[in-house]
Amino acid sequence: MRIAALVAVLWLVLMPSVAAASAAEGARFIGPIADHLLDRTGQLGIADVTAPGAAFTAASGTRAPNHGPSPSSSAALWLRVAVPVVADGSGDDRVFALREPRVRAMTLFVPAGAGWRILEWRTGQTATGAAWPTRYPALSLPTGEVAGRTVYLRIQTPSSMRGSLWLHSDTNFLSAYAAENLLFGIAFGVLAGLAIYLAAAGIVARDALSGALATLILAYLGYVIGDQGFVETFIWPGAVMVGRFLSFGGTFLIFAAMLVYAPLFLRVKQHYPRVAVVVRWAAAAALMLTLAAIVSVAIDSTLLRRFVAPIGITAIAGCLTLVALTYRVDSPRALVFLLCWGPMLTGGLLRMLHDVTPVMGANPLAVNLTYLAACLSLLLSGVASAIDLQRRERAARKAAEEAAVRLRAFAESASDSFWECDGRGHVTFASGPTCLAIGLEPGVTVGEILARDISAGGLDANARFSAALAVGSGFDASIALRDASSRLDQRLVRFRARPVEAEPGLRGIVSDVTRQVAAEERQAQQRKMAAIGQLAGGVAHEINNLLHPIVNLSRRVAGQFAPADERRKFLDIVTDSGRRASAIVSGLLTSVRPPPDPQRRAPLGPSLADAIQHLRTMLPDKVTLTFESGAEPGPVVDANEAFQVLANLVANAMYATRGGGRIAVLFRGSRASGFALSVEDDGEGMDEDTRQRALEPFFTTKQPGQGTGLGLPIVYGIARSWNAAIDIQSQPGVGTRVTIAIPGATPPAKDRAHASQA
Amino acid sequence: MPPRPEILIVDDVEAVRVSLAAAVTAAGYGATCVASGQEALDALGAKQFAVAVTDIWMAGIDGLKLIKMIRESNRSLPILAMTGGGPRLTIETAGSLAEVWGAERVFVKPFDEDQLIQTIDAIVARGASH
Repeated sequence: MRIAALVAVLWLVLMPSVAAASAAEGARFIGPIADHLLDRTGQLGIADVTAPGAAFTAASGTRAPNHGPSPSSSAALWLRVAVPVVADGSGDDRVFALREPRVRAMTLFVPAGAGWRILEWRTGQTATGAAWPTRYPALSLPTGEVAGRTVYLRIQTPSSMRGSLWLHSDTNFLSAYAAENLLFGIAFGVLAGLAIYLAAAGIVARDALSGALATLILAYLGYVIGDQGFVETFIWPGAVMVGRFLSFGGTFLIFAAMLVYAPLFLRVKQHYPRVAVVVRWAAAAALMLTLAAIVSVAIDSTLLRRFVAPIGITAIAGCLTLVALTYRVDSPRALVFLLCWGPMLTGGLLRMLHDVTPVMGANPLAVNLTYLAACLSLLLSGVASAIDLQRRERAARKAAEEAAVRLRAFAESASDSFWECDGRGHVTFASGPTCLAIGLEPGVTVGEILARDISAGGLDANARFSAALAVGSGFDASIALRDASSRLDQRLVRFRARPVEAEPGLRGIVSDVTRQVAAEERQAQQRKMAAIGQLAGGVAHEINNLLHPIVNLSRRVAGQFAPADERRKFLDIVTDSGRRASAIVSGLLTSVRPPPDPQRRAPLGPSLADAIQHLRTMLPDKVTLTFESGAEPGPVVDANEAFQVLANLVANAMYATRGGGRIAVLFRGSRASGFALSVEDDGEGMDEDTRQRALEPFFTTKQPGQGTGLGLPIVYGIARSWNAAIDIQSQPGVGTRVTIAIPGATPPAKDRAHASQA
Repeated sequence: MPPRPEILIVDDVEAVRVSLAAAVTAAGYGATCVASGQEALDALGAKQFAVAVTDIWMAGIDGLKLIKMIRESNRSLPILAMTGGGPRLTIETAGSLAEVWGAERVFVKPFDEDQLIQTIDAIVARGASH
């Protein structure tokens, strides 16, 4: 709205000044008192037009004669003027000036005795008494020779044939002509400066609107310079054709530029996309007509000239339609457009109406004001556009600053950190907690950080980084860095980057994925445990179905023998073994979901001692199994579970010693400090990878068929139900120690079910 | 002398059927053993039973379905269920469902068959006193 106010003030102040400057000439417009005759073929001479019966149209007294575009290139317009008696007494000469710069030749016939005194003016001629040629016909005569007499003028022009005839004193003419040229000069200078500014701004800011307006202004300047005779008179004396090219070609170029500029300024594309398409085609057509106009000038055709006015009026009507459409959705913008372009559109319309309806006659003020109105419009639009551009630039800069601040805030608060490096891998920008944590900062190279990778693929990440830098491709790598503060003694980070646009280097993020990886591992573990649950259920069902007849039938048959009978003892062993097997099966389920079994509960220490006795009988002779127990009996647990834990651990130890070595079982501790059960062997030990995966279900180092991979997971499941932690220490070639640490203070039996769910 | 109460034994494992039949027969009952839910339904259509003892997890018509179908046609037949667990149902879940659907008691294999006989005795005595 500020723009609208500014434009309104400019218009209100400037328009009256322009009108006043144009009118203050002190000259006499004698067009309205001229009778006129149109010689379509150009064949008539002074004798023909002075002969009685010459078909002159009488002067209207108010309007100058007007015939619109010349009907042919040789056509001429004759004017018969009864020159009024001038009474200024200055003794100055009289100047007949025809204010039509496109007139090529004018001949003045003044009665002299029985004949005629003939004065001729042609393009590029110096006006009588002036030091420079005039842009339009001006012929000077002593006042006494013309005052009160009837003179004839023959006018030849390819342009509009109008009787815009003025009678000046020569002093008055010279000053008025000078003032007029000065006014044009100032307008040209201002407009040219504006056009250059807009063109430069349009190019720098890639702003189509500024570019279109600059084109419009330049087209208009070209048109006026050509149309007003500046080219052939001052710039390139005698170059009439250049002037005509500029004038006629410029006319259509103005239409084309206007049809580009108006929809851009009015944002027609946003509001009415279909209309925008139509206008774009219209603009393209106007551009084609520009070329056609140049051709028509070259071949001296007047055909296209007759269509200038209808085409121009259509273009103006089109612009006004766009304004009306825009007014419905964005009235301030439509009003600004009207304020800026009102003068030019009105002037242009009037000017072209003169050609379309010649009967309205020539009004020199209207015709000439067109130029000044157009200059004013262009000036106002330039100012509005410049302000608009500045405002948009300011808004864009503000938005960019806000985006930068927001981005920095994100960068500093996000778990992802941002970094950028140049073509040599040197860090040029780094922001965020992960960058800070891993020492990624300006001055170091990304390669240095990647080289600290302790995971197996360390060299790989660095090689891929160099390759990405070299060929300008994306980079994505996860690495592990040693980090004492992290739970796993290492920090897992992921680098992701894309090439920086237009220059070597990479830009991207680095994220700390330690937690994410740990969570993924936990989930995988849970999925495996669920799978075990399924499998254990199936296995338990099959085995229990087999154990049921073993236990019951052996017991039934045993009952048929006397208690002392050896066969009864054997069958009792079958029954007992079956029950123990059943307990192991339910123990398998315990690792997934411990069923309560309150009947078989006992302190851990004695249960272990009992289990040792059984295990000893099962072990090969070359294996030495030792057991040491502290004074305290330990927490009360399910005896079957105690047996399973020990049996699995001892079985693993025996496997590790390859059937020949030492296995030491230790149980000690107190209620207050907690208990520890450890099983230690001097077997082959495990490497780090095996140690880390030892608790994974189905992970086994044994040959296929020799192990299920369920031993340690079952121990783990039971230990968890005791609230206990498992620690595995191992050294390849030295041995392994598995320790189950049961915390003190809270009796594990009490919270067993709860703990197993945790 | 009243006829011996007949016990229907349903299990897809032959050894289990043999073991249970031995126990039931030794206790003085008649034993009809079938290997599937469908055979059980056929037997139920042909003969009167004092008690039905069925495994839960079997191929085809499983024990839970069998219990449900028996309950739909014959509300009064006492049913005892057995299970060794299974991949889809835990022992606890199967047991509680069997009870919901109308089994008097659920035995978890391997169980003491004397307990089963005691339960059958009690059911039969209950039926006789009515």
